[in-house]
Amino acid sequence: MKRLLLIPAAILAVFLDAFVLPFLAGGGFRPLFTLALALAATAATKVQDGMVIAFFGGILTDLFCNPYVGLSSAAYLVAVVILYGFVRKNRQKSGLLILFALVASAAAEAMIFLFSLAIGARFDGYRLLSGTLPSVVVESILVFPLAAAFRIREKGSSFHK
Amino acid sequence: MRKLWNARPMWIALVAIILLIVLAAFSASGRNTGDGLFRTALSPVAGFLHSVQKEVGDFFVRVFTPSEVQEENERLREAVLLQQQQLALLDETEKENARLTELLSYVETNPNLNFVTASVIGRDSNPYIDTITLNAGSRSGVTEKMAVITPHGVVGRVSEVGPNWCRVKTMCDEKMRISVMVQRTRDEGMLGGLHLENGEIVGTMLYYLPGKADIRVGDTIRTSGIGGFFPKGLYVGTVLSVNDAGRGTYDAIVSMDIDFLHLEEALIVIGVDEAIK
Repeated sequence: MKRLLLIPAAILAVFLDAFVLPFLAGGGFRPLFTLALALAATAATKVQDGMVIAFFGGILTDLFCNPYVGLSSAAYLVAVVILYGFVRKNRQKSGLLILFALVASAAAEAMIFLFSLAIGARFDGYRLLSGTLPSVVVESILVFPLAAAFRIREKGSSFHK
Repeated sequence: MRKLWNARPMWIALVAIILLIVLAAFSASGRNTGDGLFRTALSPVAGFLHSVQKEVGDFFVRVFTPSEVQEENERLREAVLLQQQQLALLDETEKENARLTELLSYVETNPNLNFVTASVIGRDSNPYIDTITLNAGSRSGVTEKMAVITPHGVVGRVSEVGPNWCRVKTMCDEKMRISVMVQRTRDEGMLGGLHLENGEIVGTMLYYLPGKADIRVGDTIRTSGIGGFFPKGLYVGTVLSVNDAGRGTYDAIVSMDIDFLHLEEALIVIGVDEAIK
């Protein structure tokens, strides 16, 4: 079953998020592969799949490399809920997926950004524009091919026609 | 439960989001959320995955190094690639050797300080939070608020400790402050907060020097020992520029000589031998 592919994909995404990108990228450009995968799963299979990836992927990423456990998970879940809200009402418009993913991904990044500001991080407009915004764009672009790869035309799929 | 999961996923998601935000807020306020247990269990996994990441990275570095090799014939290409691999390995070993020799000589020139050497095994994926994870913890004598340094300056302070790992709040963190002095004049001040120009880190800002302090470009800045977290006399950086106009904002910019993105090893100061000092 193609849905089983989500498990190794999620493990790979967490590995990339926790162990590869923080050591490569500078200036805040760190596209979140786990988030992109959770959004793709939400669009391609069932919202529950996206939620599971968002929850466990976020928790694992936080446990591996972030000081505050739960933040990534909460942000990814918010994105999944937003994307699901869009796709549920626009089942026939799969071409809009990138746009929906862009909004959902921006919401997740905004949540991480606002939480960081709330606990005392410095407002860094340069990092926001040169790092976070490109990350949001990359994440939303990633959602489309990932969703296409995982799409299972079964009953209950978010984009099932 | 399964029925609820299938019928009302949004409600479950909302409850989970609220609980996770509360958990993150608790974690940020410094309260024990029990995550240390999981972090300890995952620490060996993190170490392994970090080594996998390094190996994969090294593989690509070795394969894609010189482009002229690709123009040669297959036999020669293989031979050159083999040599490149050996050279890359040798280069990596030499670099590691140089880093460790530097750390060792620093340890030997500071006999009054007791150190634990630790490797970086994690960096936060949140670009707005500046912490790193080291592979030494309470089993090695590491406790919270211990100073973490390299010969090139102060890395930061231990903020969280597990049995075999610790998290370090680095000097890049906006809340990080250390008490320092100008080595030449012994004037004391407070160092903290990055000074950025066009988004690039130029250095850290020096505050609260006495009004008539004589500070010049090139002066060496060391820790003053006030506050008790950082032992006195640790090298911090050199003065890059003096802010003559704006006393009340910051007094000077101090160089940050540590490349945090490529930091691989650090020394944790686990004690100061007062007798030798």
